Amino acid sequence: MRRLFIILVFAILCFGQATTADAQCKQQLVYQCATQTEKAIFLRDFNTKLKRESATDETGMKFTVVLNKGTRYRFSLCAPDGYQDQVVLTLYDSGHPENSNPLGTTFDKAAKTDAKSFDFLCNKTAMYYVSVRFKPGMGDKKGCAVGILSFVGKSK
Amino acid sequence: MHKKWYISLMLAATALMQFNCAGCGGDDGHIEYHEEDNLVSDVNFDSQAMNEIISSFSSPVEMAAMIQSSEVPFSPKYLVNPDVVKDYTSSFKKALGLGFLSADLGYLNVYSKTSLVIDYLVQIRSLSEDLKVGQFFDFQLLKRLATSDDNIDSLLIMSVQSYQKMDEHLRNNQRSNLSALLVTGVWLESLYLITQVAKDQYSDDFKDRIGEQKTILNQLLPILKLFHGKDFESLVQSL
Amino acid sequence: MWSIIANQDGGIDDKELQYVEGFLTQQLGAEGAREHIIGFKKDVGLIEDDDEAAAKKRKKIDFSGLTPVQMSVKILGISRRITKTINLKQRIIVYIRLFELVNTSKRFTEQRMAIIDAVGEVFNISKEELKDSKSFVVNENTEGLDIPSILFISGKEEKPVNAKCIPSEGLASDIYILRVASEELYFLRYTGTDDVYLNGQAINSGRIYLFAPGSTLKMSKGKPVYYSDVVATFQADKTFANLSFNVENLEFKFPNGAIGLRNINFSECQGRLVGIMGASGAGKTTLLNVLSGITTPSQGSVKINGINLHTEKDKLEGVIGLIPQDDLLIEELTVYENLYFSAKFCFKTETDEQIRARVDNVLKSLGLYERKDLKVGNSLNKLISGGQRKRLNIALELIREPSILFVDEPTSGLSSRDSVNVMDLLSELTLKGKLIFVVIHQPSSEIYKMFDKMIILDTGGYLVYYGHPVDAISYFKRHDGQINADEGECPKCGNVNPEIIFDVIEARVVDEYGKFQDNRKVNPEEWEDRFHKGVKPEIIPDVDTEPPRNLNVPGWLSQLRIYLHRDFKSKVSNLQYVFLNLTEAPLLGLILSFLIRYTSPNRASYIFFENENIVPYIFMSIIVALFLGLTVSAEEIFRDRKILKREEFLNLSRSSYLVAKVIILTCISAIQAFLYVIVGNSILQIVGMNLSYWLVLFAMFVFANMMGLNISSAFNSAVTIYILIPLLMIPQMALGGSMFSFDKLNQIIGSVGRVPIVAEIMASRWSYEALMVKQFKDNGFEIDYYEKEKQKSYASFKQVSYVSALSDALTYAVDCRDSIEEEDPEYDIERLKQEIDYGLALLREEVPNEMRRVPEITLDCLDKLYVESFTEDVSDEVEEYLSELDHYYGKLFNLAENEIESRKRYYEEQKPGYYLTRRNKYFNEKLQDIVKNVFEKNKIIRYENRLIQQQDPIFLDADNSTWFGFRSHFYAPNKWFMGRYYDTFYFNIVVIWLMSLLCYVTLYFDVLKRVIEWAGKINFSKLPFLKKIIERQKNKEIQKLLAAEKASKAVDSKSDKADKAERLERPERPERPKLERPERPKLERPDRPKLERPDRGERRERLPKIERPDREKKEEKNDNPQNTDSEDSTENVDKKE
Repeated sequence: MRRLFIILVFAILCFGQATTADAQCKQQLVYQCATQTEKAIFLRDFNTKLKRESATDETGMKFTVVLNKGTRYRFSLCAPDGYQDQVVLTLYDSGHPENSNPLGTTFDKAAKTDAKSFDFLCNKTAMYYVSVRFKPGMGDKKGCAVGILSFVGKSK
Repeated sequence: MHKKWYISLMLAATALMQFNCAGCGGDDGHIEYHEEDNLVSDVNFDSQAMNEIISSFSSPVEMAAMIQSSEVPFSPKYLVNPDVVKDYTSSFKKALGLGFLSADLGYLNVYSKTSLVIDYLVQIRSLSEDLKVGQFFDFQLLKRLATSDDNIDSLLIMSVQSYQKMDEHLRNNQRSNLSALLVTGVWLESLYLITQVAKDQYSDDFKDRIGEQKTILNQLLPILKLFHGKDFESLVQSL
Repeated sequence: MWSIIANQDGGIDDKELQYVEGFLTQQLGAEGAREHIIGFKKDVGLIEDDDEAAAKKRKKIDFSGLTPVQMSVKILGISRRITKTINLKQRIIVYIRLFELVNTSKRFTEQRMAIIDAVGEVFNISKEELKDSKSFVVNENTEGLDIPSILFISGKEEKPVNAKCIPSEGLASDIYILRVASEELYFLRYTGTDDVYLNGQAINSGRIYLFAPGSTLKMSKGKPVYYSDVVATFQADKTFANLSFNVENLEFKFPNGAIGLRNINFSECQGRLVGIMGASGAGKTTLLNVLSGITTPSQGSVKINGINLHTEKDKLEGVIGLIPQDDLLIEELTVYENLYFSAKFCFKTETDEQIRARVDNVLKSLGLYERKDLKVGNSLNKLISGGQRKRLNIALELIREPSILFVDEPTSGLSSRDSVNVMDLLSELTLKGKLIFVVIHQPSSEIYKMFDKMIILDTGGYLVYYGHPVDAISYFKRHDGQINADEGECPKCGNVNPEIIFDVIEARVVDEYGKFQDNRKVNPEEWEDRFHKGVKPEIIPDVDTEPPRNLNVPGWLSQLRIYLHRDFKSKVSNLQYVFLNLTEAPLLGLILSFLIRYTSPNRASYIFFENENIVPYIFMSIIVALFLGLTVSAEEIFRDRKILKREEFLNLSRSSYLVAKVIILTCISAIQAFLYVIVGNSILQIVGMNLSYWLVLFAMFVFANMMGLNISSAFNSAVTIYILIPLLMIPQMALGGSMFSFDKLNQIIGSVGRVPIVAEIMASRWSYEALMVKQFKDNGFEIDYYEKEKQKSYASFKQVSYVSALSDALTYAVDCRDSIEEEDPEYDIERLKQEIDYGLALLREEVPNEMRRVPEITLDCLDKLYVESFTEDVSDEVEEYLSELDHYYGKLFNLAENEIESRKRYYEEQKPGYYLTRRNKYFNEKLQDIVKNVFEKNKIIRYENRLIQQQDPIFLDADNSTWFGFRSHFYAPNKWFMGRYYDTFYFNIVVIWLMSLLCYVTLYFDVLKRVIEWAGKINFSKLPFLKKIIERQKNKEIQKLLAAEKASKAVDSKSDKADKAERLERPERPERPKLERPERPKLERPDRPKLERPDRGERRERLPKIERPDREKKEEKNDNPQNTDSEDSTENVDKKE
C-alpha cells in the first residue's frame, strides 16, 4: 500500500501539474518526439487527443500557426506504440485545402508511405493550419499523437 | 505612595494607547476602496477565433533562432534585466513581463548561454506563481538542466513547453486577456531583439523581417482592443 | 541621704549606726566599707571633721546653719541629682533603704518622715507604692501588712484577706514579700526566729532583703519557695488564660532510624520560662521542633489544653510561635519594614497607626529603634550587625505575642548585655502569662537564674533533669558526690555556674595513670534512670478551655494587599534588580533588531518588504520572552522559602501569597514586553503591529513566569533550578514551528495535515503561529487583499492540484481497467483490480466532500465507483464532473483575480506608486513565502484516502470535521472550535493564557514538588536485583571479618602451644578447626571490657527498657554479629573493622 502511495504521489508530481482531464499524450512522448528533430530547433508541439472515428466529429485537432517568409521549417509526427501508422499530420492554408492539395503531409496518399517528418520552406509570412488526425478508416480506438514544429534554418 | 502607583499605571496605559493597531490609523495614507468603485473588469471573451489567433503566435525562440542562423554573435545587452519584473504589481504587467522574459530565455537557450539563465528562471517562476500558472514551470528541473552542460537541448525544449502550457492554460480558463498579454510580451521583445540586431548589423533579411511584423501587429491589435481597461487602451495606443 | 535623715531630730543613734555599718560592710566588704563608714561618721558629726577639702569632696552639707526651708530646698536638690543618675528600680531600693534606716530605731519623727516623703516624690515613685513601701517597712502586725501588694509565706491556718499567701508547713512566723509592681521589684522581710535561707544564706530578722529573680527561699520544714512561685502567685488573679502543655512519652525517630528523643515527659502551664539545655547533639533543636509541631514524633503526644498538637493542628492555629536559630528576614527591606509587614499579617482589626505604634514599641524594647531604617541585608552584605539581626528575628515573633513561644538559641552571638536584654524581654512575656521554651547554650549566671524550669538533655535525646535551674546544680553535684552539693549558687555573689552540670554529666573515666579516657563515667541512660527514680515531676491536668490565640489573621484580600505591598517594596529597594529588569528587555530588543536590520545592497534605504530576517526575529522575540520570564521568576519562591517556613505558624493563605507573586511578575512582564516591542519593532520598522506583538509576547512572558514559579517552588537548591532551565527551553525552541518544520520531523511524532501533539503542548508554537498569521493577514497592506487572495488561492489550488489529483486517480483506474480488458498477460488481474479500487477509493472519499462544498455540481453515479461497476460510462461521467469542477473553480479564480486587479488599478489611479510603497512598508516577502509554504514541492498529498492541501496554509481554513476538535494545520488563519471559527490570533493567545492558568493550578497544589518527593522516596535497595547484590556484599564482609578474627586469635594465644602441637601433629584433621570456631568467640568476648564500645545510641537498636540489666545487654550485643541477616549486624561489623 505504501508503495502505491509513493507511486501515486510521483505520478501526481510529474503529471498532475500539466494535464486537465483529457488524454493528451504523455510528456515523455512529447519530449522524445521533440528531441528527434535532428538539429532543428524546437519551436512548438501539437499535442493532440484523438477520438474514435465517428460520422459527426473530427478525430483530431486543427492548429493555427504563423510562419515567416524565408524560413525553412520542419514538421514531425510521433504516436505511441500501436498507433504509429494510423495518424497523419497535414499542413495547409486557405489557398491549399487540406484534403486535396496540402502544403505538406506525413502520409503520401499516392505512395501510401508514412514519413516521420517533412520540411517546408515558407515564402509568405501568414497564418497556416496544421491538422493531426487518424487516417481515414484507422480510428477505431481513441488515442493521441504529437506533432512537432521546428526551425531548420534560413533559406538562402 | 499609592498615588505614585496609580500615576505610573495611568502613564503606562496612555502609552499603550499609542500603539498603532493594524491599519486603524486612517492617517497613514490608507485609501478606502469600495466594491462599487470596481470598474467593469476585462471582459473575458472566450471566442474560438480569438484563441486561435493568439495561439498561433510565434514561439519565443523563433526570432532568436533566426538571428542565430544569420550568424549574429550573442550580445547580452539586447536583454531585459530580469529584476525589473520585481516591481511589476498588476497581473497585466506581470503577464507582459512574463512574455519579455520568456523571449529572453529563448534567446539565451538558442545561444546556449545556460550560465546566464538562472536569474531569468527565478523571475519567471516568481511571475508564473503570481499569475497562478506556476504549476507548469518546474523550476527545480530547469535549474538542474541549466547547471549541467549536457542538456542544452532539453532546457530549450522544456522552457518552450512550459511557456506553451502556461499560455494554453490561461486561454482554457477564461484568462485570455493574460494570454494575449503574454503573447504580446513575447512578440514585443522579439521585435526589440531584431531591431537592435539590425542596428548593429544591418541586413536586408532583417529589414524584411521587421517589416513583416506589421502584418502580425495588425492581427494583434484587434484582439487587444477587445479587452477593456485603461491598461489595454494605453497599450494599444503605444503599439 | 542617710546622714541627712540621721541628722534630724537629735542625730543618729546606736542602732542606726550599727545598721549602716553592717550594711556597708556586707555590701563592700570590711576593707572597702571602712572609708565610707568614717565618712558617714563625720557627716553625722560623730567624728570631728578637720579635713575641709575631703569634706568638700564628699559634698558634705552643713546643715547647721540652715533654716528648715533652705534645708528642704537643698534636700530636694540632692534628690533631683540622684533621680538623674540612677534608674527607678534603684531609686525604689534606695527609698526602701531609707525607711529601713529609720526603722531600726523606730524613730519616725515628723521631720524624718517629711524628708523621706519629699524624697519619695522627687524620686517619681508613685503614691501608691510609697504608701505600700511604708506599710511594708513600718508595720509589725499582720493587719497593717494585709494589703494586696504584699505576699505572706505563712504556716498559719488563717489566710490573709487582701494579701497573697503561699502556704508553708511548719513556719512559725510569716515571711512578708512586698511587690513594687511598676518595676517588678520584690522585697523580703522576716520577723521570726526560725532558720530561713535566702539563696543559701540565713536571713536576719528585722532586715529587708531584695528578693531577686532566681532566688530561692528555703525553710527548715516545708517546700522551698522560688521566685517564680512568688511572681506566679501575684499574677494569679490576673485574667490570664490558662494553658496546659503536657508532653507524654515523647519519642522521635529520624528517617534513617536513629532515635532523636526518648521518653520525654513533662508538664507546664502558663506564665513559665522553661530552658532547654544539653550538649551538642543532645537533641535540643529536635525537641524544640517536635514541641512546636514542625516535626511529628514517632511515639507519644504533645497536648496543649488537651488538644493534640500533631493530630489536631488546626485547632491550635495562632497559639504557637517559633523563633528559629537562623534569621529569617527579608533582606531587601529595612528593619522597620520587616516588622511592619509581619505585624500586618497578625492583626487584622488594628488600624495602620496602631500597628505602627506596636512596631515602634517592639523596636524600642529590643533596642532596634535607632536602626529601624537600615536595610537588613544578608550575611555577605551586612548592613546591620549580627546581634541586631538576631534581635529583629526575635522581634518578628514577639510582636504578636503568641501564647506559647519556642525560641532556639536567642542569645548566641549576642553580647552579654544584649543577651540579658533579650532574656528580660522573654521573662516579661512570661509575666503576661505566656509559656516560653528557650534552647539555651552556655547561659550566663544571670540568665540562668531567670528560668523557672530547666530541661536538660543528654546525648541521644535522654531527659536527665527537669526542674528548678539552681536545684539542678545541687542535684548533679550530689550525684557526683561533691562536697558542697547543697550550694546551688555562690553564697556571696549569687553566681551560679551552669557548666558544672555538664562537667558532671560528661565526666570521663580516669585511668590508673590519671589520664582521661574516652568513655564517660555515667552514660545517658543511667542519668535518665536516676532522674526518674529520684524526682517525680508534677503533672498539670489538661485545661479544658481553648488556648488563647493572639492571632487575627486578615482576610484573603487584605493578605493579598500586604503581600503585594511587601513584595513590591522589597523589589523596588534593590536598585540593581529594578534597573536590570527594566533595561534587559529593551536592550535585547535593541541588539536583536539592530543586528538583523538588513538592507539590500542595491537599495538606498531599509525596506521592510525585503528584510529576510523578520521571521527569525519573531521567533527570537518569543524565545526572549520565555527566557526573560523564566529567569525573572525562577528564584522567586525559592528565595522566600525560609520566610514561608516562619509564616507556617500564621496559617496564611497560600493562594494569596501566590496570587501576589503572580500579580507582581505579571506587571513586570507587561512592562518588559512593552519596552521590548517598542524598541524592536521601531528599529525594524514593523508598522502598526505593536499592540499585537505586545499581546502575544506578554502572554508568553506570563506563561514563562508561571513555569518559573513552579520550578522555583519545587526544588531545594538554586543550582538545580537553573540547571532545569535549558530543559524547559529547548523543547519550546525545537517544537515552536520555526526551526524545524512540522512536516519534516520524525514520523513517530508527526501528524499528517496537522500540528503534532508534542508541539501542541508547547506555548511557543501557539505564540509563533499567532504572530506569523497576524503579521501576514492583518498588516496594513495585506489587509486589503487577504479575503480575495484567499479565494484566489482556494480556487487555484482546487483547480490545479485538487481536481488534477482526482483526475489522475481516475486516469489511473481507467488505465488499469483498460489493461484488464486487453487481457494483457503482463499484469495480474487481481492486482489490477486492487489498483482500480485504490484509485476509486480516493474518488469515493473526496467527491462527497466536494459535493458538499459545491452543491451545484453533482456526480450521480457515486454509488457505482467500485471495481465491478466501473464502466466506461461511469468513467466518462466522472470525467465530465471533474471538468465541470475545473470550470467552476476557474471562474471563481477569475472573479477573485479581477477584483484584486480592479482594486490595484483603482489605487494606482488615486495615487500612483501607492501599491508599491504600501507593500514595502507593511508587507514582508520572506514571511509570505513561509506562511504560503512556497518551498514545499508537494502542493498536495494523498494520505490514506484523503487529499491534504500543503500549499498556501495561510489561506486554508481549519479542519471543521469534528465539533470539538481545534487541532489544525500550522499557520491556519482561523481555528474551529465548538461549531465556530475563531481568529487564530485571539484563539492562540487564549490557549497560552489557559496554559498559564494550568501552571498556576499545579503551582498551588505543588504538583511538581510532590512528584519529586515521591521519586526520592523510592528505596533503591529494596529493588529485587539490587537487593541480591547488597546481600552478597554483606556476606563477603562478614566472611572477611571472621577470617581476620581467626588470624588474630592464632597470633594472641601463646598459651595454646598444646593446640599448636596438636595441629602440627595431625594436619589431616580439618574437623578440629571447625569445631573450635564456634567456641572461641564466646570465650574471648568477656575479656574485652565493655567500655571499649563507646555508646552511639543512635546507631543501635534499643531493646525494650525493662530487660536492661548490664550483663544481658552485653551478651545480646555479643550475639548480634552472628546474625547476618539484619542491617544492624552490618553496622556492628563495620564498627569492629
